[in-house]
Amino acid sequence: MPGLRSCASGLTRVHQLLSAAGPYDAVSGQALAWQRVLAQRGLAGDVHAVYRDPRAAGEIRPIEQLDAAAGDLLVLHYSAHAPRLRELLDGPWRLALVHHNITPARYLWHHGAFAAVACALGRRELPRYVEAADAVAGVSAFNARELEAAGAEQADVVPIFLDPGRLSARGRTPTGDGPLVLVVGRLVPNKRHDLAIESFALLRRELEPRARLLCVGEALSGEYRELVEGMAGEGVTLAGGLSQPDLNAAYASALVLLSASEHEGFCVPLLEAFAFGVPVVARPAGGMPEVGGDAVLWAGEEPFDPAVAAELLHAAISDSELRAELADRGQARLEEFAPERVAERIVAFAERALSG
Amino acid sequence: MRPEDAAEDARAQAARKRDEGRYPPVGPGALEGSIGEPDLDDLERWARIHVDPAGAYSTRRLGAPVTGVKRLMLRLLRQQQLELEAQQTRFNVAVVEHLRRLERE
Repeated sequence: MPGLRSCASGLTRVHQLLSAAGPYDAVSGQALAWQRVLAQRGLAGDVHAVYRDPRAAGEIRPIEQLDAAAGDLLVLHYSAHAPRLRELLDGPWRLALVHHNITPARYLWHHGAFAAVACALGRRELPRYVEAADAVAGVSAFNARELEAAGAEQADVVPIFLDPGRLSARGRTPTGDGPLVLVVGRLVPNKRHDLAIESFALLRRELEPRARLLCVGEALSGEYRELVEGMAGEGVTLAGGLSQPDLNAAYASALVLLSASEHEGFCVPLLEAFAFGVPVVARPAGGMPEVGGDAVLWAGEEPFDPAVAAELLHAAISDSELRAELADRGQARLEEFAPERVAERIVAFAERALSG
Repeated sequence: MRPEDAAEDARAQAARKRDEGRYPPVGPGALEGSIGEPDLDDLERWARIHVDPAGAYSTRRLGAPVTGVKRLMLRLLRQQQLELEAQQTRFNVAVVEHLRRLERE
């Protein structure tokens, strides 16, 4: 167990903990956002992760350097199993659990051994974390319901904090011309890039022959990337992970965002698309309907029909009245998730965890 | 068009074009066959551990030298890794055999 610091200063510190930290993942971004919000309220602390991608190492420290005292608050952003996290459940500090959701392992067994095991164990151990926490929250009501199913008496909802400042810098614009369809999310099986690519292929063949599809997101593995590349036809680019300025430039160039994802705890790209006034066509999976509300063209019925998605993409690209209405509704959804509102909920949750 | 009408319109267009043979029937998607819980055949395949050294690489910018060092270390430790793989494989294969016996009984 990491060293226990004596609380001689009398100041309460709030540390953010992650199982894994990467340069582009939403959970790491949230831990850093929570750190900034709470530091502004006098609750300073560090962000630590069990596994760190070297590209994220500047801002995020190893778990071994955690310096926590009795009375401090540890905010555990839970998204997968990691061995060292369990050791922190029974310390003298206060513990808050934020459930970002865990991909069901059935999506991963055949594609990534490490991720499959981390997700299978993460889901299996969720009740133990719920039991140990002084306060629990999900980033969506969907996630909060999972916490209650895992034994929580009451789970709060603290949505994702979207800092509009990070959307302002512009990097490199995607090359090519023709209507740009954007898919944003890690290249992992639950995001169902196969269905997104199939929808795009129908769009291109029947409705928008010059359309381009840009998939942004780090791949689960090189092997999985090759598998998806094998499905990608003409007009499809797998860009890998992009820096935020390059992603911003992609949003600014895009005419529509597409998601065929089957499992989402929240889906940050919805809010990002709203911020850029980009219409969204999506499958109503997990926490997405409560985020997107009436501002998304939902490819609503199961099984997911790529032909319906292609028709919706075409409408979102070509119908100016529809685009304007969706942009207005997107702005209204952004109001619901305004940073000052979410910051208040973060602070209230942390205070509840400290006092509860 | 209002967003509320768009989904209904899209479904109608898709159905009409499907009837005309322009859209294929709704399928499960190319990935569907590889999504699901593992069965005993999967376990048997996974029981034999072999870790590809290509999995050792660096994600740092200009990380090629780091990748080279990692792979060199793996080569130097190959004897140890083979023993580790063998011990884990022995356990795995024995467990799968045991599961197969239970399934037959």
